[in-house]
Amino acid sequence: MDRQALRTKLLDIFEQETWERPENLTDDMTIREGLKLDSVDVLSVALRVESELGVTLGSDDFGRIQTVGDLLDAIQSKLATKSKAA
Amino acid sequence: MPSFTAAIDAWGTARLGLPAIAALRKSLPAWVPESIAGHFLKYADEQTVAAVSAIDRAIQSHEINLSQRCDWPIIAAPRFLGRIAGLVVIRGYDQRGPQSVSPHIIPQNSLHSISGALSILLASHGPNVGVGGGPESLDDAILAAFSLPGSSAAEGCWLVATAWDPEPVADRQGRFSNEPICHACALSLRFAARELAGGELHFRPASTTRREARSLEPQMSVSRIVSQLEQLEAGESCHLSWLLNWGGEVVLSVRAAGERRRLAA
Repeated sequence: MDRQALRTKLLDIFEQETWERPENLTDDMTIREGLKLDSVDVLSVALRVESELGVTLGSDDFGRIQTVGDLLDAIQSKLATKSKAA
Repeated sequence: MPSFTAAIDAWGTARLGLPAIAALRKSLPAWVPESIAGHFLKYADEQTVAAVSAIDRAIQSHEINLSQRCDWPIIAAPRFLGRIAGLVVIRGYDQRGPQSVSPHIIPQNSLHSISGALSILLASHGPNVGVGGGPESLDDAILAAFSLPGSSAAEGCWLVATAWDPEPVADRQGRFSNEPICHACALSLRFAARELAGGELHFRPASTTRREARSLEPQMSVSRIVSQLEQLEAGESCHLSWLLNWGGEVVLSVRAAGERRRLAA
């Protein structure tokens, strides 16, 4: 899945989580302040990502993820690893 | 144990069916700080939504200045919180396993969830606590409120009681076979004042005479209080008194806003 398709998928997930669909989901947008997600929202997003994309984001990952770009990088990396393993 | 009296300077009620609750989840009151996300109430328990609505009516109808009570404690007394969310979780877990369980279930449907949510929305820096949770949570909350004056520097507190009546009844498929109504009553209490425009809440350990005790109701429900207060016309007042199960007594006297304005004048 390319980065733009992944970005669109994340938009869908954020909309399911918050009722709101950001007009632009830019890489530098922060998850806490920019998207106004609290820690439980973030965990819920991680579960949706796991359910819909088949990759697991753990607490170590979210310790490093601050922005949408960080989140996209992490998911792309895990998808690539998963693809190689297959 | 001494008697206590607190003045009521504002009050509000809410009586909401499920469609009204669904609509209120998407519209936070105007007094909520801009930093709060618009989806704040999306996963909140229905009783939290009703509590916010009751506080909103208290603030709107009594022109409350929230900045003057940012250190006030918040006491919330839900009754059987999490019934609907619990139903969804149990069904989901049974059918789709643990991955179906939302992480919101614990923070949104625990005893302190309502007081915590109100604390965030009201931008309060005072303590917040959930009280009771069972059939006598209203009485427990009143006792908790009257325990505050010696332990808190705040002039008053928010006291919010919530309950379903009737309770939601669902079948095995999760369909409701009745129309549950969620009730909430919010009181803004001031400890030092003896009388204010909104009324008084009085507590005493026991009735002084058997004759007085016979005039009291054996118990009180949130829905009964809400029903009585919502019937008040401008300038009218109502008095509700009931016994606590260990012998104490509570007297709630509430005045509608019309009389409030006359007293203020």
